[in-house]
Amino acid sequence: MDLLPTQEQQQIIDTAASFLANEFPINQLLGAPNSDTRISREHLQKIAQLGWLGIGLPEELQGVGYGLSEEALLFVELGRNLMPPSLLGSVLGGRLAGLCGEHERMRSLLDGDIKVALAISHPGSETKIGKSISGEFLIYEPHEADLLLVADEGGAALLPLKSMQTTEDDRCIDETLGVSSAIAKNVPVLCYLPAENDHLFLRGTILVSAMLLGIAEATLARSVDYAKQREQFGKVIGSFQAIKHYCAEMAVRCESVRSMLYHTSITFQAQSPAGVFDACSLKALAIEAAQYNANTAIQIHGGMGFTREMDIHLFVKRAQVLGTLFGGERYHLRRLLCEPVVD
Amino acid sequence: MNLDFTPQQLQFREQVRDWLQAHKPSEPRPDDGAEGRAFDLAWQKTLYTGGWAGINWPKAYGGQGFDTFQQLIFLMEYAKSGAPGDHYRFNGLNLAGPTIIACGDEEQRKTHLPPILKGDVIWCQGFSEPSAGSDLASLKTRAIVDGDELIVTGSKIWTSWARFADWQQLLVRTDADAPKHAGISWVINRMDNPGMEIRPIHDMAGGSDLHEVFYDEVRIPLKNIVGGINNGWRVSMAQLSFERGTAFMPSQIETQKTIEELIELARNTRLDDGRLAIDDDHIAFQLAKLRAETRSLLAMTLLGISRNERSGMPGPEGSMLKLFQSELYKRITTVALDIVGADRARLSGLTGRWPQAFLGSFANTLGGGTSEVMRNIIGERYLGLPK
Ligand SMILES: Cc1cc2nc3c(=O)[nH]c(=O)nc-3n(C[C@H](O)[C@H](O)[C@H](O)COP(=O)(O)OP(=O)(O)OC[C@H]3O[C@@H](n4cnc5c(N)ncnc54)[C@H](O)[C@@H]3O)c2cc1C
Repeated sequence: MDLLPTQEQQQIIDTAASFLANEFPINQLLGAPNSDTRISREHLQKIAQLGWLGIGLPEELQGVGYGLSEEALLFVELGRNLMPPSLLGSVLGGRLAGLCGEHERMRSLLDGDIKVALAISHPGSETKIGKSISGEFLIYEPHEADLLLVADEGGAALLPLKSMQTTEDDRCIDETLGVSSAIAKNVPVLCYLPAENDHLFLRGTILVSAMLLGIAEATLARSVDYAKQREQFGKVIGSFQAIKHYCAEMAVRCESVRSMLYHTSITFQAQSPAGVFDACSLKALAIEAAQYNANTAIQIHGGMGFTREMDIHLFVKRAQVLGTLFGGERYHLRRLLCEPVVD
Repeated sequence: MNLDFTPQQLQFREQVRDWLQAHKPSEPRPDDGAEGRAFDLAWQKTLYTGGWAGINWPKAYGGQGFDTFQQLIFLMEYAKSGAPGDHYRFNGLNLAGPTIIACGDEEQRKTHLPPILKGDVIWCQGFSEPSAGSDLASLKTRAIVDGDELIVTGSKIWTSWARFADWQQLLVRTDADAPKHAGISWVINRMDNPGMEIRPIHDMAGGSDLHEVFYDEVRIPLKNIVGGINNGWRVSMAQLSFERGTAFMPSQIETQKTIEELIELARNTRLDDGRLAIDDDHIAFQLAKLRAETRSLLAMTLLGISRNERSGMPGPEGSMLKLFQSELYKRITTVALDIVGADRARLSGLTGRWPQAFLGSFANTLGGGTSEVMRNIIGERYLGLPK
């Protein structure tokens, strides 16, 4: 038993962190116009060349051959760096196509030639996901997207974005992402994978939780740095207990979610009965941690935190968006309560 | 990153499971102090005879010398089996004994370690004082050297189990002029030493395991100082290096049992509007959240153990786990009150354990360092924020 990353896994983390810091510095996002084109097609291809999009796919499917743990570690770094959720669309889309036996499509997804937007059921609308889909959906990052990934507990599907009747562009709470809504009436999909074959919805739940952990950790780190350097009343504000105790609470949340992410990536991969129990627990905890930490970070940064000169607000907003993907807090808590006890 | 146990470890688990099943006491531990003491000592004797005493003590001192994973497995199985908790045995096995192992001399070890393992003695901890709680190092109980003895005068408070204990780990001020951390000594004291007076304190949950202890020129042999005179602060910190992260396993599993029992209760209890408690959204979401948090307590414990195992040093997880676990337990007992509804008013009967647990839960965020002090430690030692 050793819950810590191995040396090889640590290398994945370190490589990802330094690549992202160099290629996609967060300050690029400051003052950027509303858009969801942070990742151009060339960017996506460059990321694909690192093997990231197929990191958790078995080698038989031309993936890198790592498992969910490695995939999750990568997504923590993507979340920390505010990389767009469509990367999750590419990763899950590649997996879906591969497991459906659509090797050509899988190849172009893994190579970054195709961009996959994520869609969620519009709150309150009746949606159906199967060989064809119906209902009202919210689509994140519709611009330049080719395909759309939709998933629920029953299964997951890929379909051309064009086949949906998208309505006007809405402004997204997260100004670095686009959002639009779309209505589908029995739109046939390109491929559909029932959850019995591979539970893509819960895999997405775990990977979004990883991104939320990245946000929780990034906002803790920024808060601690700021608290060590900003002075008031002749002292750094980190010496005030009100601030120190906020930071301690944020740290405990990071520890709790990181532990759960590691644990879940193992139990889920092993398809043990604890996998579902853990995934639902993880998402609920990750949402709370990311939102508590990001929101508290604004308070710790004072008036500066409220401005667009600093990047904290971007984390606040992203935490809200990620919370809606692959089931929100209420969804997962309700589901968790229905699960049998696990050891 | 893996959660696998080796075949040997799995075999060890079977062995622990079987032994506990065959030997754990069938009757519950009595509440009464004297009977509780007798029960605890008898159970310790059984563990000793069975070869399970001192699982984290080195073999050289009569312990089992289990590695971290064996300790983890033992504690998991122990808690699952429903065998009695440490209760009065806690101090000797987890604090005083390990300190004497780490800092004592050979004679102290020979005299004091075997009786703890064999279930002959109970130990208590006389650290806190009326004016030295969170600020423990400001303690004032004076000890003056007189020939080959210390003469101790002062008072302690919150000494758990004092009137049922045989021995005490006592912190005294042996140098009043030194800086506050530098003038303290850690001494072994007999609880029947002349000049001592022990008064129970009645707590809000109906217990009387806490005490005030008064010392009026109490004589303690100099040879009972552990780790050298004026070195007591360092000695009491040495306990920590003994801690391998498994300390939270029992309370983690207790918490898991408690939340599962509470969920079961909610499935079978009707609210005043006639619905089952579990069908009430507010209660259901709180329960689910507590379930998730309890699950992460397990993951945090395992991550902490993994870290200790790699670095050989106890990390910051101790304070995080203490804070997380004690606050979580408090929330669990508060939700329990919502579920039992008006029955919260009754401490007896089938649901009486829940309001009782609520009353007792206040101890968790105070004893062993308050939640605020834990947040200070996390902020300062883990995050590096200034004092
Ligand atoms: C059930 C129980 C069992 C115990 N058993 C023992 C035992 O066996 N032996 C023993 O020696 N002691 C024991 N204690 C004592 C325990 O260690 C102290 O109660 C604890 O350290 C707090 O000290 P205090 O009660 O004096 O509170 P205080 O230190 O007076 O604290 C009062 C309040 O002020 C806050 N506070 C204090 N300092 C700070 C600070 N620096 N920053 C922020 N907030 C602060 C505290 O968090 C608390 O909310 C026990 C206590 C309990 C409740």
